[in-house]
Amino acid sequence: MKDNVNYVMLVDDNDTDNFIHKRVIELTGFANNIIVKSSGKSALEYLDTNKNNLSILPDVIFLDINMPIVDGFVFLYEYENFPESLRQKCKVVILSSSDNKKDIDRIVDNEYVINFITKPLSEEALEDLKKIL
Amino acid sequence: MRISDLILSKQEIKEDNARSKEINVYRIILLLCSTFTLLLWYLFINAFPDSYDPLWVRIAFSSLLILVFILTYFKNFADRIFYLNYLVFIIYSYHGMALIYENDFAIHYILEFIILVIMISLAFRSKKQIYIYLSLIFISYALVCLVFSDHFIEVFVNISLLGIFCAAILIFFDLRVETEKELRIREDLLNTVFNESPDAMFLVNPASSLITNCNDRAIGMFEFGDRKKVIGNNLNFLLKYPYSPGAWKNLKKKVGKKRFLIQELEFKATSNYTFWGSQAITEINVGKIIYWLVRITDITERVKDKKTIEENRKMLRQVVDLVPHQIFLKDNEGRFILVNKAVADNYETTSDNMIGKKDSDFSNSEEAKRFMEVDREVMDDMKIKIIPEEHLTDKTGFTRILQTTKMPFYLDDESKPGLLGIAIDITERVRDKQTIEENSKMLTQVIDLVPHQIYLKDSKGRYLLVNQGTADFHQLLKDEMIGKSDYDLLPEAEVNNLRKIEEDVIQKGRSRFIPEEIVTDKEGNKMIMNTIKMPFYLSDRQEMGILGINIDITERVTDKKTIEENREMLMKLINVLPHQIYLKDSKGKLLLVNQRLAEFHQMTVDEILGKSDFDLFPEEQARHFYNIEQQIINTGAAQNILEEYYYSKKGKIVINQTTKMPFNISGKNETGILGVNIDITEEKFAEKALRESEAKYKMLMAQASDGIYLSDQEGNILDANQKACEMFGYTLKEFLTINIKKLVDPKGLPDAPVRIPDNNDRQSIIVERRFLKKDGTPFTVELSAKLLEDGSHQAIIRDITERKRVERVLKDNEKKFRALIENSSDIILIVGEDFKLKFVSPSVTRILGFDPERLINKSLFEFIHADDIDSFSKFLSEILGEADRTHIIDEMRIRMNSGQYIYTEIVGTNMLLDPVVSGIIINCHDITKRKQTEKELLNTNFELDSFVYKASHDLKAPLRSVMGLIKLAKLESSDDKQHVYLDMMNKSVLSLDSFIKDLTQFSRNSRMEIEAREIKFDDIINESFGNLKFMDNVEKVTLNKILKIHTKFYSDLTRLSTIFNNLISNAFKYHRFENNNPYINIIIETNPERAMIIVEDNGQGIDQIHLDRVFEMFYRASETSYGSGLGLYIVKNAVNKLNGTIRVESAVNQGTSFIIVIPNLINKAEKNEG
Repeated sequence: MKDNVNYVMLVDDNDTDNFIHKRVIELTGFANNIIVKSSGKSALEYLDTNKNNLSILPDVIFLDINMPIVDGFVFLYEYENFPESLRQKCKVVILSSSDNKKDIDRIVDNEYVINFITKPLSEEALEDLKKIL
Repeated sequence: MRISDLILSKQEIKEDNARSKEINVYRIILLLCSTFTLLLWYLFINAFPDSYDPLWVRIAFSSLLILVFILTYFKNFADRIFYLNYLVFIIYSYHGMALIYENDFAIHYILEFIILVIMISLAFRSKKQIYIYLSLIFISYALVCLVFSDHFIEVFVNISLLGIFCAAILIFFDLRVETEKELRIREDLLNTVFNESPDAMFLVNPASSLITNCNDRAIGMFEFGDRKKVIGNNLNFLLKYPYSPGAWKNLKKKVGKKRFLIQELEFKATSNYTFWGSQAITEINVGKIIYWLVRITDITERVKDKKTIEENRKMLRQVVDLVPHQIFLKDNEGRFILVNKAVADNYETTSDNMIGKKDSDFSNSEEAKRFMEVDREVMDDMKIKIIPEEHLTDKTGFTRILQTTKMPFYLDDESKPGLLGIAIDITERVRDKQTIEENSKMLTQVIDLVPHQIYLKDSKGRYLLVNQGTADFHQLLKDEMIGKSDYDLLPEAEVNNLRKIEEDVIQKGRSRFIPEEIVTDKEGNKMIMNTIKMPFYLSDRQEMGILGINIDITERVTDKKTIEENREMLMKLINVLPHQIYLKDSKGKLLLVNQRLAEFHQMTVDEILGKSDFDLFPEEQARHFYNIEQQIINTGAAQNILEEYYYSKKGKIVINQTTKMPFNISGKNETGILGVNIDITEEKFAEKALRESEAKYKMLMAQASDGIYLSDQEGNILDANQKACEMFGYTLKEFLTINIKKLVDPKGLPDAPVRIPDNNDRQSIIVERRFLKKDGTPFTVELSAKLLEDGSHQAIIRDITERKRVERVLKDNEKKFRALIENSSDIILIVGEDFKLKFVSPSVTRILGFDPERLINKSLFEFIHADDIDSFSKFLSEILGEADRTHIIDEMRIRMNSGQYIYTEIVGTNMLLDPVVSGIIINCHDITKRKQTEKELLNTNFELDSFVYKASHDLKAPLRSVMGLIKLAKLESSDDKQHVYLDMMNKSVLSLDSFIKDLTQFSRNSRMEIEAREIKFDDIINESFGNLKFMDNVEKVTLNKILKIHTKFYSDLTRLSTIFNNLISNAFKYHRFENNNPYINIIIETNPERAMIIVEDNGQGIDQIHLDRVFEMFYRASETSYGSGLGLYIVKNAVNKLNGTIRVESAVNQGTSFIIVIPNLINKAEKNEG
């Protein structure tokens, strides 16, 4: 994708991380709009509310694995129930501090996950991501 | 070239060769022509620049020829190319002619033309084509000359020159073709002779005896099927017997002779069919090589014929030898050619010895002369001559009379006749005739002297011959009687009766004996005659007559009556006696027997009379009796035989006491035998049985494995066997002087007082008793004593010391075993085939709370947890399937009396076939505690794992945040100083991060199970390297991978990743980037057993003093190290976990290499997959 991404969504329970990632995306100009959700649940709700309004749905969802209640895995499980059009539009990228191989293998096997990035989010990672979008 | 090829190559191959040769000639000519024409052009143009000779034409021809030349290499064109070739040649020739014409018959062009024609002529295939070609050229040339040349002489010279030249070519080619043809015919002839020969031909290398070639007949004769199978074989291979005269070694001796022949050899074809053959060998030289041409002719028929003739001749000889007459063959000179055995025997020599010799060499001169005269006569007159009586004296001087037949006989190989003679010895015959005459005379005299009447009558009853006695009876002269019949001499009634008898005798041809014939003599006296009439063949009358003898027994008959009366009385008397009484004549015939004897032979008295012992007893026995009886008759002394065995024909054995005495039989005027047999069979058998039983008893005693002794009432030993003596350690002699009571061990007495068995003890008494040996050592015996009738007693003693000892050991063992089972913490069960409990160890009470007694006969399945029944059934069927092997089931829940279940490990062995156990032994080991511990451990592990995961994440998450913040700060600030601080912060955070990572890995490694998967080394290395990509200087280091993956490698992926990550990152971290060419080499080689991994670098290296400790926990060898000191420790642990080995080699500022060997888990992985 050559143009900037219109919407990205950050899903992380850690506000510091959300701040850092938001800043990095802003600074690199990776996306025009950034939606920040501090829990998996609120992220799912957002998607559910706007599932018919594709224009404001995020192109990329940066998803943390380790979150209370609705963690990355639960999120992905719920995500499968969304309509096809939504799933086509929103690509999921895992952004986690875990480098546990088991976690990575488990989550990368999911068909909606297009990449796995270890925290912290860096410019290089974003550039690489841009290439595969 | 080898002669074998020359002779034997097939016609087609030869033609092929010829053609390829021809094609080669063509090619040479084509090349020559194409170059020739260009070279000549160059010469001519240089010498005569004015001449007309366009170069393009020559080049065109030249290239045309080259084209043809090339085309010859294509097989498809090779045959047809000749025609194209001829066309080019002819055009080319005309071009030559055109040149001659254009240049006014310049001599060099004419020469060129001639050379060209020669070359082209060489290229033609047949004479005909050359003729056509040359005449075409010649006529064209002549025409050209005639048409275009004015000068007559020039025309003539030119035409003649070419004419002569063409003729020369023709003659030359004619010659060449003729020679070639002749050679070919000769070659064909040779081939035909070789290949079509009715004999097998081989070419053989005389130095090695190897066959280099052979003809078709040879293949057929030896049934090779293929020439290839022959070539290279040894010549001996053809022979039936490898040591016969045709064998290689024997042939070699004849080397030097150019030709030689070996007759009658036996050869063997590949099918093992053997035949006779002759082998002719000719040595031929081909250049320097010498070959043998071996010709084998099948002469089986001839040999067979020869053998048959020889056999026939041999047979004839044998037949002739068997003829009792003398047979001989002489040649014209009188020399023996053939004589049979009878001839040779006559002269007491052998037939071979006689061959070639004359009569004069054997007979005395007079006889020989006589023989030879006769021989001469026969041979000259060509007549058969029979000499009825020839007298011949043999070597012993005995004169023999021979009837000899001699006839002329043509011998095959001689023109003059020989002589065949057969002499029949009639000496005996002549002599017999004389004897008969003498006998006849004597007979007449003898019969005249006989007091009885002897006569011979013809069939009509007329007397032919009578003796004096007959004549006297009728009161006539002998001669007067001849011709008269009984009708003339006796009363008619008597004669009628007589004639009837005589006619009967003649008709039936059987003698008649008339014991008492009443004949009335001249005086009217009735005479009683004992008459024999027998048929007699009258040879001169050719009819049956009667020979009769009449004996006057009138007086005898009157005596007989009195005797018979006496005899009857005697018979009555002897029949009363219980013994056998008999009277035999001198020949052993029974004349008189009593009832008793007849009974013995199960016959009546009448039946037995007249029989001899030979009819009643087996041959041998009869012969024995006969001999004794003859002896008695001869010596006249009676014999009393005390004990004689009689085997009747029916197999009955009787023992008799026999008395035989000579007895004069007055009626017969000879000595017979009177015998009395008294039957003593029963007495004798009783005696014998007694003896045998005693012998058996002795033997039994001597051979018994137990000691046996016999003692009297007092206990004095009377007899003992060897074994008894050995037991007590005495010799038999010593033992017989001892009282058995003294041998009893006094210590044992109180337990078992000595008791001599008394009369009430009819049965044996058996006691255990301790005795003392001669040397004083006590031993325990089982003593079985029996009182005998005479008050003595016999005892059998058996040493049971050993048995006692074994019994004790067994008892001990049993006790130990019991204790073991009762106190065992395992439950030991024995179940039968129906899985019902047969035995339960007492430990069941302690462990399960059951009463062992109550469990017997309950099914084993009652105690197994319902969920485990299936696996338990399977386990049992495995046990049943394989006897004597131990099977184990790890986990099985067994019900307790309380209804709860405990975990047990069960070990089972099928001992159904063991006669003692005859069941399945099952051992249940309580593992409840172990189970609990395992469960707890699993829980703990799981908790720990979760804890580590959680802790590492929770530690990491804030670190990552800090890292993000630092990055962000760097992005948003342009202050260089701040950047330095931020970088330092980042470094510290990174180091903490990697420490956490190490800790997690370590914790994982020590707990996780090994999971064998196929390892893709390339992927692992790339990933490890990828992890380093954000590090400084990464681009300066070259990574060299040398992967020799010979076999798929299976191992634990996580641990291998850990190993590679650590080693590669270490190699990188401690590199010397100032080094010109920093590198990391990773060399991996796999095989089915293991993988060898070498990670080497040319970095900083490790000091020798640290080298031993680098794998220790928290040990840091480098001062520049910012690591945790855990890396290599984790590597070492991971390698250990994989059952591998690791070692390190290093030198400071040179580099470090880690060598790791890890086993290949391919088998384990396949098992899992399978």
